[in-house]
Amino acid sequence: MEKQMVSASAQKSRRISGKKLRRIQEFLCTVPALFFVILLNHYPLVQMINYSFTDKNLMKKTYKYVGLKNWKWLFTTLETNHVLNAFKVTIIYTVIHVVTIIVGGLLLAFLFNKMTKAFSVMRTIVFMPHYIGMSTAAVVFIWMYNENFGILNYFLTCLGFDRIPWLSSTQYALISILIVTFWKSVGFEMLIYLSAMQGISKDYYEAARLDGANSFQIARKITLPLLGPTTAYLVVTRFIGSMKVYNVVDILTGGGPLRSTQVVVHLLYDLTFNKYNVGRSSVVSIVFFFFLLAVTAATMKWSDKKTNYDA
Amino acid sequence: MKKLLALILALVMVLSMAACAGNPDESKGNDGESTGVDIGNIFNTEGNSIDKSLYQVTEEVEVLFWHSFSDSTRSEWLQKKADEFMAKNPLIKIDVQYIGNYKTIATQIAGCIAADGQGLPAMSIMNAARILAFASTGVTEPLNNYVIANDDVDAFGDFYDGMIDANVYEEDGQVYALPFSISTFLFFCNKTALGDDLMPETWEEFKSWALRIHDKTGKVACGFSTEQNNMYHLIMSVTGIDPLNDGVTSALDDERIVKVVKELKELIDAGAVAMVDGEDDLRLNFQAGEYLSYYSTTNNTTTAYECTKDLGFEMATAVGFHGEGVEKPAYTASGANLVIYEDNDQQVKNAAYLFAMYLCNVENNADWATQSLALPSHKSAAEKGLLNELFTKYPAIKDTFPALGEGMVSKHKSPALNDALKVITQYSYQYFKGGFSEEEFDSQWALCKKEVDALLADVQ
Repeated sequence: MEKQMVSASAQKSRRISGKKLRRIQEFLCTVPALFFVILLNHYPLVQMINYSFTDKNLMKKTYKYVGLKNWKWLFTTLETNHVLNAFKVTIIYTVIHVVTIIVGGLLLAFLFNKMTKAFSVMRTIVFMPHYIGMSTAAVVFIWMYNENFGILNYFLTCLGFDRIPWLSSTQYALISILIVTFWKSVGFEMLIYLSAMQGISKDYYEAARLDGANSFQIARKITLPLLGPTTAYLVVTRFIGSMKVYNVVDILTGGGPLRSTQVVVHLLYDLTFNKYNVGRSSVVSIVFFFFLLAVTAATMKWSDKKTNYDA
Repeated sequence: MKKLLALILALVMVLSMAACAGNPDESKGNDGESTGVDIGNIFNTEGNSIDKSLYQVTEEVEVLFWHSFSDSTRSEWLQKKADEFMAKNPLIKIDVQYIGNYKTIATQIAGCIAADGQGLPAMSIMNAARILAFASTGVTEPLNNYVIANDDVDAFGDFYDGMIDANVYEEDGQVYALPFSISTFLFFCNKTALGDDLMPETWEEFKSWALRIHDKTGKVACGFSTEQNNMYHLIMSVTGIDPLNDGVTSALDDERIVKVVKELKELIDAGAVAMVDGEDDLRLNFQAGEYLSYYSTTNNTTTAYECTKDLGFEMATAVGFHGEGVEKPAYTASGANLVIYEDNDQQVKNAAYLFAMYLCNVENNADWATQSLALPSHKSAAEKGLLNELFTKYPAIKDTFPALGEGMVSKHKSPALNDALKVITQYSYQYFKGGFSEEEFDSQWALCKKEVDALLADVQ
């Protein structure tokens, strides 16, 4: 009896040490990946925080610590350092861009949600701009937007309207950028929504039809709620992506006129690669990082509460 | 609450650790006082003896040369000159590489510095606007000793004064680049349409000329673009005032500057003058015969000629106008310069200097001007008849090119120059295009001044 008890206890202890060993093995397996994550993601972040306390200049090999000088610059020259303006422009751009591409993508998905050849061709046409590089698209649009020789103003003048200074007016420059990014992105949103729609069980629709629901009611009460997770995914990913918009702004307007299109990443580029002031750009980057983190967390929490994952 | 406190504490720790981390060397920034620049005394060696042997090439070296000329004519010319130079200097191997425009080269240089000098070229082409910014960081080599050690002081004196002055860093009085070619502004005119009634010499004459031409032809007499140096040149030519003033507080509130801006707006509103967003628009309107003259850089001379040769009108060029009490129009020194990078072996830097000076000698400089239609940087190029081929091919520039070189002055040396000029141009452009009304002008112009002053203050 005693022997049996001893052997049971030994077996248990072997099981525990086996479990421990497995856990250690599992952990060790993640170490290489963890190493690269830390090296490529976290080390730069720590280094950025480090640089925010220095006078690091991109053209100099050496730098020295300047305490809170860069942070002081950020907060004491708010009227002239253009950081607030860059945040304002970025938020306006992001909100309008995310809303328009998601609503546009959804509407197009409803429109093209027929699996016939003709609709397939139309879907391809709508999706096609996604294949074009943003830089290429921006260069093409520069000519389309040209005030004197652009095709858009040509049509406007043919219709009896005045020419619009698309890229050189503070009033229209941001709208012009939003048009390009909408044209480029909306097809992809449509495709995501279409595939999500294909994944919704047909039973829901059949049940609703038996209950006498019309198409509008079905879309509002069944399709839209069940597209919730897709919408949540699109909102979060597109939100983060839009906040980091850069190349289209740089090519079309260079952040102008009068900083009316200067987004945060463009300001960061300007501070780093035109003014070579890594200290200041680090400070702005840190603020931007925490801003993105907070807004993304809030968006995810909101989407968790509002989204129906039953489908 | 506990979580929040923990988060704050963790954040404070990360920030403190980051602030304490690392052990960088002390910055080696120059702490010398401003010496001012006197062209005659730049290479004054009185009291200093230079060991010439330090600036000689005694072993085999390779010079990596980055340039910004994408077209085959120019890049092939550079390769040809490199081959010639290597034949004459067997110890030196030149590796000519096209990298991209000035901005790309500057970004690549920054990358090399970040990589602890790896891949850094021995020399590169660089635009005038970046020369002093580079000099202030110590990334480029001061060249005075090289010039003296190689007995090149006289040859150096043949560069236009404005180009030399533009490359002198005031903090240490040293020259940091060799002027390779010049680009500055000039007027391109449709001689067939304007006849002898070409560009007038004074601002007052220009105003009445533009209105008269517009009334007579219904066309735009002169087109300007939003290129940032445009407004700078216009203001300086008409008022004789540098808008950046002493580099501490701008002179944008000076009533003479305000008057010029308002008078230009009147001409634009009358349709006699146009202000467009981009050089391409200027050229296309000129080609279409809508603009009878336009203001652009000498870099575009070839394009201007090529674009108009089959259109059935003759082109002329003009230096431009100046204001009352101002001696001559202002044209500032811009263009391609050759810089040598400090973080190279001394022998490599010596070789790079020799090659840079070879590319910039008067014969090669004139040849380059003839091939590329760039304004040569040597005073004697025209006098020695080295530009005859160029002037025969393009007679319209025969008088204009040397006049531009002679009158050239250095731009304001504030590191905030480019950003400040962008601000001035953009506010002016918004005003010209009706972005704000006449009533709003005072407040908007005050904002412009405030922004420019802030930029100037930021670099103090």
